[in-house]
Amino acid sequence: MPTKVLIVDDEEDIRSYLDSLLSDNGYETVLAEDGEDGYRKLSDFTPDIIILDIIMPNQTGVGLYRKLKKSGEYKDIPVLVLTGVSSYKDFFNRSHLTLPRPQAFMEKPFVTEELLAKIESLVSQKE
Amino acid sequence: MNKSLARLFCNLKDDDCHIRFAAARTLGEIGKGIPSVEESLIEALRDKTWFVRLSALQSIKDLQLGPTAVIDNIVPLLKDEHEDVREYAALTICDLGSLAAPAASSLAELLSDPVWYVRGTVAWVLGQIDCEPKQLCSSLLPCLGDSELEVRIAAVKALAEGGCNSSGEIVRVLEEITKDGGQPPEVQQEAGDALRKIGVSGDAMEERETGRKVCQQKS
Repeated sequence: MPTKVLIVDDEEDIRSYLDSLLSDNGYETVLAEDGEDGYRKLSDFTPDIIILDIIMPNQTGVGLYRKLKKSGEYKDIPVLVLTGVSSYKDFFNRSHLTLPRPQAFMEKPFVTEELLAKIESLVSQKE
Repeated sequence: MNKSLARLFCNLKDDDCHIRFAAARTLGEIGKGIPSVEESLIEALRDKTWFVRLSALQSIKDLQLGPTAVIDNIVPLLKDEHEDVREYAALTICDLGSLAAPAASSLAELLSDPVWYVRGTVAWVLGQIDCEPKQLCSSLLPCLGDSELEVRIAAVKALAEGGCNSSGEIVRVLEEITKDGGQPPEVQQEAGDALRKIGVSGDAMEERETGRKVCQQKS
């Protein structure tokens, strides 16, 4: 069974690049264009990992991440935060909320091999 | 002015919000100590696109502006229409530590924000900025009944920070939480941990409790 990845990013170029990259490497992907869309997609697709952009219209990655971690159903799905804004880590790294931090962060632009290695590592940790 | 700075200032006024966003971030990376950069970022805090405002805010946070500049320009963002901007504004104000006290009442207004994580963050921030214990208690007590567990826990953490200044009132509130059966176990646990952190030992808590019971019996 292929590893399933939900890609949540508002930039179409990034979505389609990640889609091709992951499909070519044997992953099954579903794409979402913002946090709200991402949460909707989860009702018919349970991913092994979520790749999450942060700055998006409607619901941002911060909002979606916190919603996921508070839900009973999706809280254990590993999340790789893929963002162009490194200081966004502040939202997650402060100790004021008890929610767990995202399993991994990567900054855009990213190195393809590093991204694939990180996804593989998160999925194998989950197994 | 060098050419790259001039280009970035120009980009901050571009029609494309993504270009303005990137310019605001880059200015934060290279602009430390350059007054014209600080001024242009302050202006970008009023951009019509929320993520450009957030980007400018992040850069201002990185540049560590003085307390007056932060209070004057960031406090209005506590009322921003976007929740991430409101939360990040609170975190930026928090960096001022005790110098952020003038913003305490504006922060406290956000404890009724519709978004739970804004309320949670602000509750925690209030504990970090040396509020008056009385003000801290009166602001945070309603949070102990918040519908979100995270907000209650953040409020207890904030009370614990305030209690580090050995306020009897905060210790009393924390003690009450540990005995309040209506509070979820996580909140009671956090209050117990807070009391231990402050230095109120289990024995001392027991003595206080015994003393209270004796007083009640006498009355």
